[in-house]
Amino acid sequence: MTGILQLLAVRKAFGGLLAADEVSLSVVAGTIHGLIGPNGAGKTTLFSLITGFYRADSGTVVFDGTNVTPMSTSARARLGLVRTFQSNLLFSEQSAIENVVSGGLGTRSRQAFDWLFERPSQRAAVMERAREILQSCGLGDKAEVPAGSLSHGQQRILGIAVALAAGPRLLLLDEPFTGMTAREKDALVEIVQSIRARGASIVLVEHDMRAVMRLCDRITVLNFGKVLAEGTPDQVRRHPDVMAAYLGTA
Amino acid sequence: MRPRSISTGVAIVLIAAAVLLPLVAGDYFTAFGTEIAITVLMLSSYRIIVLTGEWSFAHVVLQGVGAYTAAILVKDLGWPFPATLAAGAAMSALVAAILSYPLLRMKGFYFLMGSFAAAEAIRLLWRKIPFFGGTRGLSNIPAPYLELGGVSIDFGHTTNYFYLTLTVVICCLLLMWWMEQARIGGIWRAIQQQDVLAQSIGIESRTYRRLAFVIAAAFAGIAGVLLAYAFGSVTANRFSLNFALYLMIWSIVGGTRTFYGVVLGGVVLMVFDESLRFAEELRPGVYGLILIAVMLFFPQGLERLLAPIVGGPTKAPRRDVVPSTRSENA
Amino acid sequence: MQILIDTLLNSAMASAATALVAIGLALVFGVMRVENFAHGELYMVGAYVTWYVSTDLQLTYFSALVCAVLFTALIGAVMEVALFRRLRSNPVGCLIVTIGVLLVLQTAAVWFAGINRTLLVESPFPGALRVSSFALPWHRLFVIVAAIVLMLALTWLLRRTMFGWAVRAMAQDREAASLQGISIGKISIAAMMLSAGLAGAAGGLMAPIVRISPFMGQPVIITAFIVIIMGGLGSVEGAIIASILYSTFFTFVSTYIDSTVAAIAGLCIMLAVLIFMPSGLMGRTEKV
Repeated sequence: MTGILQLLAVRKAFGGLLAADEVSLSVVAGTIHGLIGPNGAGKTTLFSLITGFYRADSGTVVFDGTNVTPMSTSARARLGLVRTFQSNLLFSEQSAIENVVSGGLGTRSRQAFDWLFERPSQRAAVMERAREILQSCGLGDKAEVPAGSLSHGQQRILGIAVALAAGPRLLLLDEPFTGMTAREKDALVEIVQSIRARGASIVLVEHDMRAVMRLCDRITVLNFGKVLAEGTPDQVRRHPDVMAAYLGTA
Repeated sequence: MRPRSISTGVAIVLIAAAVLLPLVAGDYFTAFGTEIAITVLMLSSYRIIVLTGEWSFAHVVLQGVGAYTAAILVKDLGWPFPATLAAGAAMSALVAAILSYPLLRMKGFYFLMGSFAAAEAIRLLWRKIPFFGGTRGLSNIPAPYLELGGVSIDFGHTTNYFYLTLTVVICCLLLMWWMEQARIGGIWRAIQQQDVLAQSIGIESRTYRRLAFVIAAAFAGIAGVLLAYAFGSVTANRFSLNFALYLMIWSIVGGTRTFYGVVLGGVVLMVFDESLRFAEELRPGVYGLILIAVMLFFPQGLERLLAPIVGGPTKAPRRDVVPSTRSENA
Repeated sequence: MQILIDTLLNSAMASAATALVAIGLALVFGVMRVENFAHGELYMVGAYVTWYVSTDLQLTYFSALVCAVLFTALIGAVMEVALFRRLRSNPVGCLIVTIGVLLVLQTAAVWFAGINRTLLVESPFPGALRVSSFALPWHRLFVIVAAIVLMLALTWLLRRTMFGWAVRAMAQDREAASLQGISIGKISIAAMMLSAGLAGAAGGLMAPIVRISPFMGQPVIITAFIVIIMGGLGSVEGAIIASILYSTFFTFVSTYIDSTVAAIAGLCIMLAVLIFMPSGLMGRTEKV
């Protein structure tokens, strides 16, 4: 049970509300791991605990053998733990391609004074890679369009492209399918699968059950800050507690 | 490439005009030209801080650190001009680095007030401690003098000092412009636009905000050294809150989005400022009205009016509060 | 001994005046999230109006005081309607226009009465209360009493009236408040008028004691900001407590040591609060 990401008894309370109650889970490398649960189950909290936007009250987060619990968000990102956002968080003053270039700013080579001196050849390589990422996300023809002028669905995908530019080994997607048309959803499913095919692992928080069932290798169900069930999509679908707590009421 | 070549053209015209200034204008306006050059350096270095999304009241006092450093070194130890220039920059950067530890834990209004408190405390210490000349400050700073292989230039002469200042300022501007094109400039912009997103892709925003604060201070220190020699004296009152306010106002009115915006804004505003000299007492009020009008009608600064001509971003930038990640989906 | 008595009395008076100014600043921040840098200039305007009405117009000091309050409240209303309302979505913009207003008011005062004139306001309470060998100037006692009365009235207003309820609701959550049928616009105008009026009252009360100049607002606003940061931004109770602590400290240090040292110490206190207790003495930031 060694995974690329492990949570060991992670706990987080807001005032009296236990948003994460001794949550333990393990994400196996190279898989797409779903995180589902009813509203208020603590999915987003758990997401923020994994990426370091919140610090856990107790428990540990281990990423690829490194204990990242005390690390900042950006330090975790540089290790390859990168997230996207529920809201369309983008560098809205920049074009799509500039956004992707910006996405790599924090994780490009970090030699001394590299932030000051960059050879033209390095720059060309950066642009080339940004173009590839945009292409792979199906936004190749939108490179020069200002991020703010893209459609909602395109902005969502651009958010993923920005995260990809940071070179994630584990990509955390926060409700990526929200507000997308059926066609965009199909495209996104393919994009997510291609990301995995290139070697990254993925954790997915999502409400769209069809997409989750289609994509995920394993699913963890949360309820009231606790792990309710875990297993393959089929196991989870048939789990009586899950049906009672979640699917039954959904 | 067209906008870029135009802004290069504008830059060349500006530099040419500056170089020709002493030939057509008298000493009074040449000395004024020196002041403009120093102000442009202050504004463009201030912009580095603004680029990371903060407004600081400490920048003018950091300029003062450079000025006092140069004054003391040249008067007490007889250091030559280039050495005082380097020392002034280094000292300002050092003070900024120390201040940045407490200050950069704050943001927005807290950072503004924190920077004010720290800066004002330093300024009051200058007034209090005899070593810094107390309220009278330090005066009789000897002008730089160059003696090299039979050629001697006395920079006490207004025109000569103007050219010296111009050279130093242009070098600094080129350095800053280059930095902004480099990766560090991109990182600063990313932090300003979306701090949360920047952190999520691995940018340690506090480190880079600190870097911006320190680098800006180094340039402010150079501006301070230039100022000390230009006036021949340094007083604490030259670095008071009023000057910090003016720096902020000019940045806002001129706009800080683009490099040329600050430079052009600085020149225009200094000339405007000078032309208001006949109504010295009413000047603050005029600035107040301009500031209010700009905030109400041109919240991105006057450079937006020029943007279509000289190039630069055409899309309205968003400076609204970052919608932080939703804390909990409850 | 007289020095100690004087210093104590001066501390009390400074606390009272500072509290009046700081409360208004805290109130406006709490309700509208605006840091009003022009607040010290409203204090200055209060002093000028008091001087003008009581000398040039030759009315009594008390009517001058009322005029000062009304006039500054009017300025407050204008600021809200003409500026803050139009910049609701732009907090930095609000802060910056208040700096504009600061400069305009300062210049207006210069233009109105000149810089170097000595403006004297006669107190209706000349002389001093003599207790054995000590002298307690009547006007200083009056300032303290008046400030306490005003603060009690304000406390009643905030705790016992619909207005106070609305103000507290808005300070906690503006959206929720407007959903409950609170008119954001009306409450903002009222809060701004109240805040400006209090600053005007403080200026009028202090007019017979301090030197009236266009720049008298600057040290006052700096003190007020130190105080509301100490007290916790937006907290009226915190502002009062911090006013007393800070003004007493400042008065004693400047009397017994030196006013520059007192200023430096004050700034360091503010810095320390910002670093170690960013939410101030009263704990939470979001509070009125």
